[in-house]
Amino acid sequence: MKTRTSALLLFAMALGLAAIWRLQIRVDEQRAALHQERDDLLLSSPRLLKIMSMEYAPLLADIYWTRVVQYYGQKHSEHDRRLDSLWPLLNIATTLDPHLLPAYRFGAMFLSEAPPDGAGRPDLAVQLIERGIAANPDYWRFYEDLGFIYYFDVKDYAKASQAFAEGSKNPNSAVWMKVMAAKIAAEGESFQTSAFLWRDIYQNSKSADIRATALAHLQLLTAREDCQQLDALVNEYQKRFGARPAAIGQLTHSGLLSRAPVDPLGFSYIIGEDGKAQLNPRSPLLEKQKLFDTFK
Amino acid sequence: MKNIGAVALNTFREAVRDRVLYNLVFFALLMIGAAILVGQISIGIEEVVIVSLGLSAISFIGLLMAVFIGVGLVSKEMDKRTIYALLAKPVRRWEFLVGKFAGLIFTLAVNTAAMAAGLFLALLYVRHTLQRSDAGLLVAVYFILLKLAIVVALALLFSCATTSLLSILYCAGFYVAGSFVQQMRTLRNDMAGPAAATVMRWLSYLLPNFENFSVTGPVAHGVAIPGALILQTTLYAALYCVVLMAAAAIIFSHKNLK
Amino acid sequence: MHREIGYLPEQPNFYDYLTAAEVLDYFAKFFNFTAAERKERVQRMLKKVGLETAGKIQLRKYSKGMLQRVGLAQAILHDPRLLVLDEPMSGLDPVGRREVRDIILELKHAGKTILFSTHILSDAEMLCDRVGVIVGGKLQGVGAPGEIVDITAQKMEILFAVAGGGLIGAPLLANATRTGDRYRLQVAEEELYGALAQLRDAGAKILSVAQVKPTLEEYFMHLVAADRAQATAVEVSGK
Repeated sequence: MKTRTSALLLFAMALGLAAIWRLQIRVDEQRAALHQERDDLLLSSPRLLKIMSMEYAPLLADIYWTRVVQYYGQKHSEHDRRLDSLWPLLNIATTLDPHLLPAYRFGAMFLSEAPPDGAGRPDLAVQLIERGIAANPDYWRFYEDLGFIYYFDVKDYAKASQAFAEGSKNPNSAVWMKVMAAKIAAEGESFQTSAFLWRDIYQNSKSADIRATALAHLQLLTAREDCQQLDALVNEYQKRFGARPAAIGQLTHSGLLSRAPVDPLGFSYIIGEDGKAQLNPRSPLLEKQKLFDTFK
Repeated sequence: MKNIGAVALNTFREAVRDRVLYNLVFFALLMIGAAILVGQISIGIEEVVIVSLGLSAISFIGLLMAVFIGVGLVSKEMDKRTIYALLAKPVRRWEFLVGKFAGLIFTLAVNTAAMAAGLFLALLYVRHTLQRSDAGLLVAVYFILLKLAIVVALALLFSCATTSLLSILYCAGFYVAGSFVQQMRTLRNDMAGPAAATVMRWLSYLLPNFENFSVTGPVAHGVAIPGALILQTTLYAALYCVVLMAAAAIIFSHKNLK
Repeated sequence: MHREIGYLPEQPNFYDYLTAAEVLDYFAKFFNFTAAERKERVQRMLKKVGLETAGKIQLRKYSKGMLQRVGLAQAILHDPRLLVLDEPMSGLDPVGRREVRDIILELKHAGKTILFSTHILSDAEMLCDRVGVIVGGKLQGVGAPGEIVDITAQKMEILFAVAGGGLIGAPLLANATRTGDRYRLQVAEEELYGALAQLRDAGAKILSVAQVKPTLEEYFMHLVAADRAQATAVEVSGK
């Protein structure tokens, strides 16, 4: 074959690959429509899988856990709210390998978080963690996770305190577990507790997604605290001057505030129509707050 | 054209007279039989298990055949020196390649049909009737065959370029890579930097996307596959095979056969 | 162009899962024969190379000699005008070699051009109209076998027997090689009559007098030695 024919063939190949690229995009669209009905999870019986995988069960567990991570990541980037396959996948992964700690911890996080960041199923998350505790009784961090879920998502402060207390019994546990148990038992929800817990997650979590969520929560907490303090100032203003202030500027003018406060993203707070301090409409935090509030 | 046919027929004959093939088909049928048993263990999902396990078996065995016979298509003729007498005849090198490709595809088609028949029989045994939705099974098997075509073309390409062992490794590598193409696309920028993300994206479109041929999910649950998708998937496979065969032709034509 | 050339590779190997008939049929398909013509040709070829009875046996069971014959058959199957045969006699027993020789001669008389390579110089001498000798990878001599070997002076060989008694003329005897009571003596052409006279005087019985032609082999060895000498010379001068 002459070199010229070879060159022509190479050119044809390049054209072919370009056509393949375009074709693939079309195929992807079609397939997405096809898979709308079900996320592909065929063998949903964990026990069956465990029997079938024999000595490869832990390896299979790792694969399933990887699938969870990919699944979560993909759904996240597609802004898809339905995370129906999350629980079955986690169920299988932890049945195949009961000592797969990350699956319990991150899985519970993915499950309990309100949509769109999670599946919004704190009950399943509790179930998962309790199963983790049963299989790994010495791992005190599970109690921390359990307490976390009860505190933030289920809002059962009694159970949250119990969880922290239980975990603190482990000699290896962190010092603050006991303190946390006491504080929650006494005060229920508080800014400091919440902020502390979220900060702990933000600093220690290995998942970028979870760190992002923790940061958002911290920012909203701060905003809420700020708004509460601003509300106190508003009431003070009313007491002194007889009328509610219409804008933050009035507060600063009157000397009650040294300078206009801003939310963690740098946008200044405003006073809403109901006379209460609010996030600035231009602040992205407002979107996040609306989302969290809708699903709480 | 008749040259291609002659080579193809001979390739088919060679495959058929190789006893390993029968063992593989038998093994696949065995797996399908086992699927019936497995289905009995759980409740209400016998059919789903049979279909998904059965299709997996057909796909797996088909892949083994495609790779192991495919990598020998050209290199075996060169090692055994049977190719010299052949190329002295009035047959062009590319005709030889296409003939080999066609012969193996035909072999795989026959074997896949046999295994699919086994699968249908298994389904019949469990369900005692056939439904319209079972036509989806045919589509699934057809898709598997399309996937095998690309694998054969890959194997043929490597067969022209290197030894059997390396060819097997490369084929396996490409198959694994091609199966994770979707994941490559969702790999986000912050994981490795924008340059790497672009490379990933290019790879994800240029590598053969074997996930295109996976319809086990919908088929197992009786969802029909739209005709347009069947057409497009066929076109994809055909285009990719042409690209691979062109590369094989280029390599083979410049090869010094001594 | 491939239609006019037949090629027999060195140590031919064919598809061992096919029978001889199938292999020939396979190759025949690449030419423009009808199915009937193909069948007829295949049969004819098998007969010609002596494989009629073995036609239906798979090639994996064939001996080397049988494979060689199949190779020859596929080379001449399509009646080409030029044949290129690489070591056509290798692996054959004397009967086989005779048969192949006959086939080659037959083809030669049918007007085909045959180019074959061989290590067996006597075959080349016997069969070829023209010979090319390759030594050290280079073509050293081309010509009719008879021509190119005319490099040494002619010698004559006398075959004689001596009955009983001794034979004087010891120098003569000394040069002769003896097998039983037969002697072979080589003398230069000009010394022939002198030697014959001596033998006659000694009462020896002359059995034959023949010209000694240097063989192609000797010519070849001569070339090889020359080539080596040259190589050594080059080495020496290179230092």
